[in-house]
Amino acid sequence: MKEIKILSNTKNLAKVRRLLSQFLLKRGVCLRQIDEIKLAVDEAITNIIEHAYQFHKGKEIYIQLKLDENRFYATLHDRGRSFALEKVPEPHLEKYILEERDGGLGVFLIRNLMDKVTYCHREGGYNEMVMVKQLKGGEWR
Amino acid sequence: MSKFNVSTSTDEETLATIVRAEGSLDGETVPHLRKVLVDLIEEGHCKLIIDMEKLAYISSAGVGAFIGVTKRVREEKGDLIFVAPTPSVYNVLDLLGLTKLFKIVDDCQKAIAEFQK
Repeated sequence: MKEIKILSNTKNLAKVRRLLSQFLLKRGVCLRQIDEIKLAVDEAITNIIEHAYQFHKGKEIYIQLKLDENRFYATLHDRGRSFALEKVPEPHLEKYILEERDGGLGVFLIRNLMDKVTYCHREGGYNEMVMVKQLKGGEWR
Repeated sequence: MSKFNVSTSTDEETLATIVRAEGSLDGETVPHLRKVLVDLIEEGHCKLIIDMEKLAYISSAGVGAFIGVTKRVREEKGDLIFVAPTPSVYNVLDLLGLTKLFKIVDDCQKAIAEFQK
């Protein structure tokens, strides 16, 4: 298990991706799945910075990485604004082009890259997202 | 910090502009790309060739920058053509459905040829 604490600044995205790569490489996860996990976690942290913390810098984001048998778990905590994961719609790219919309794709990617995603607001006043990926040696899902 | 660099050059004959993106395109670096794209469009460059050969990483923030300017360039009879994305970048474009809505070619000459059609 590995725990990482970062502040809500997009400058920290590359650092998290680097730490994720190190964590997963050491445990023999294939490069393609590392790419998928890095992207999903990047998307989740970007959402926290942008939506939960509204780009306010210096707010805490807690990340826990865990590998259990053939499953990878990433748990993220923040104390910003929460949202209803189940209400985030599937993106409609042609519509987004017409609306000149440059966001709204992150949750779709997270859902597609990971096998299970849950999100809730916890009693301690923080939001928790848990992403799970079944690891299958050396192949795309 | 993410490393990202973008450079541009314009083909005199077709007036197509090659936008070479290198490094990692994420939530940190996308404002730089977005400014380059908007400046080009405001200068009248709407045939945009996005050279992704040296783009190692893209998140949805990066993809969004391209989606966000597509309407403007298409209204001006231009478009975005993506060139030589690495497999991991291609997978992100494909997952998000861009491979169905945009041309993706192997090299910049092919992209220029597309704008000559």
